[in-house]
Amino acid sequence: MPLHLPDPPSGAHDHVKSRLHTLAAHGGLHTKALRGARADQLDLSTPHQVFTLGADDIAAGGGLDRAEPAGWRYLVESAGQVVASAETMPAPDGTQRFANVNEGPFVDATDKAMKVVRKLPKLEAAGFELRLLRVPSLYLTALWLHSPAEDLLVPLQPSPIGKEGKSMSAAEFLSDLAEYARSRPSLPPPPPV
Amino acid sequence: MPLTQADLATLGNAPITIKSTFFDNVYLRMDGTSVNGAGPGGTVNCQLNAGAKERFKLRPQADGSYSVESVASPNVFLRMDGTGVPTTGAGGGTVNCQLNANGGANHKFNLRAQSNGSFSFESVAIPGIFLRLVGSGVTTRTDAGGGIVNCQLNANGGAHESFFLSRDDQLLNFVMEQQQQTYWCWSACTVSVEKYYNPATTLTQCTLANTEWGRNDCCGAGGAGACNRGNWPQTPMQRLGRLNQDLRTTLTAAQISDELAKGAPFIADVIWRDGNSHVLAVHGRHQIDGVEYVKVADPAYGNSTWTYDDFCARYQNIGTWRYSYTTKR
Repeated sequence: MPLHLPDPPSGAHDHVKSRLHTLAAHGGLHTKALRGARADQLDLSTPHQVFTLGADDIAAGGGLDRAEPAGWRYLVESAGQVVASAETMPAPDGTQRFANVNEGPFVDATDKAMKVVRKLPKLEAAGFELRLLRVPSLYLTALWLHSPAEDLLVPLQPSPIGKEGKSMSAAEFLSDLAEYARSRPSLPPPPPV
Repeated sequence: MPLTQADLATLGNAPITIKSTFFDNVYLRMDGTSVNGAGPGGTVNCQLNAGAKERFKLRPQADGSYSVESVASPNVFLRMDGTGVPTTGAGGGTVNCQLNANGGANHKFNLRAQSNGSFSFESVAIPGIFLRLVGSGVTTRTDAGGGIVNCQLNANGGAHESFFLSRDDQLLNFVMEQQQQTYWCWSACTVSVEKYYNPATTLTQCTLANTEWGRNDCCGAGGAGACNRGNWPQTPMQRLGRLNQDLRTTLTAAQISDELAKGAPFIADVIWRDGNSHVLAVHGRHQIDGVEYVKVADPAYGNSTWTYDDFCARYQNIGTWRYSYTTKR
């Protein structure tokens, strides 16, 4: 059974693509790969929903059921190569609106992890939906393969708990992350102005 | 959003573009490369979309008027000689440029605000004479530009004499290092700022951590251990002489533009919903179709372009921008 790529809300794909093309046409994309790309060659692939968890949820032993939907993410391709990611966030009227385009390390890490994920034997047994889990304050970003029966997490490089590109059970992933979250040194108050 | 009369007074060094209200995506172009001290010269005409020669700085004058300086050719100013402009409406006179002419008689313009948010440029030397741009046929970008720029009589608010002024795109050549330890966003930002102003520096993230923590093992085994702690960036920035202001607030789009116009990236502190915080740099901005964007260089998440509104309130979905540390050379 192939990995299921969910359908984003109506209009989100076209809206993001339009914004991306506009940014490209106005020189609004600044890495070497995107700056050299022609606007009409940029395309979107691999839609997946983004979920977030707080470090406090993790440290308190919270599970994936505490994850909150935050928007949608696409991979941006130029001439068949993944060069960026683009994300939406919900507008007050509930529609998904373009929020950002990213050219950082988790773009390439996603591309590499996707190649691993598509070969997982477990995909044959259950229908998994692709999601992204982000714990910003722990700098953790992971692919989240969700099915009604099982959840698998694949930390993206760089990962504070290591195991980049490896498939982990939800229990193992949350345990490792909780231990890491609890060991985080506290930050003193800011110095006076 | 086009600039308003109030915006003009606070522009400082921020570059702007001057766009025709009538011809789609046609901008005022000024090529001052051949202008020397011998007198007026150069070329002022039109260009499709805005590049280097379509960027200007407004220089305010004591009488409330402005001179218009080229960004591509510093100290070269827009010149308008309205002598002999016909009354037939055909346009005439001469518009070109001149070196070191800030505030000169033919180089000052009263910017007449229009109801649609645009401005007409009226000569101070010859009241009633307005800057005129005819961009017919300017449908592709060419090295030499095209169309006609000259003067028109009594044309305040005319279709060919009205221009939208906008802040130009701003992007600093700033490179953010990836943070070498999970809690070294502060160190990566401080080192990157130092390298931006002083490329010859030998400062590294771990040597900075050694200094901050009074240790000597942060470049080795201690890096991932006791040295891997969060910190506020303003203390090391202050020590290095790179902290301009420690602002416990966010910046408006105009304030961001002012910092970038000084060639100064700034550090933003983002607080996550769970109470932890993170720092990153902002090194560019632009506005497209009325949407303001910022360029973010993040030591953990890499380079990105965010809408200003989402950067302020929903960075990485659960981050809120709260403090700003401006930098200096």
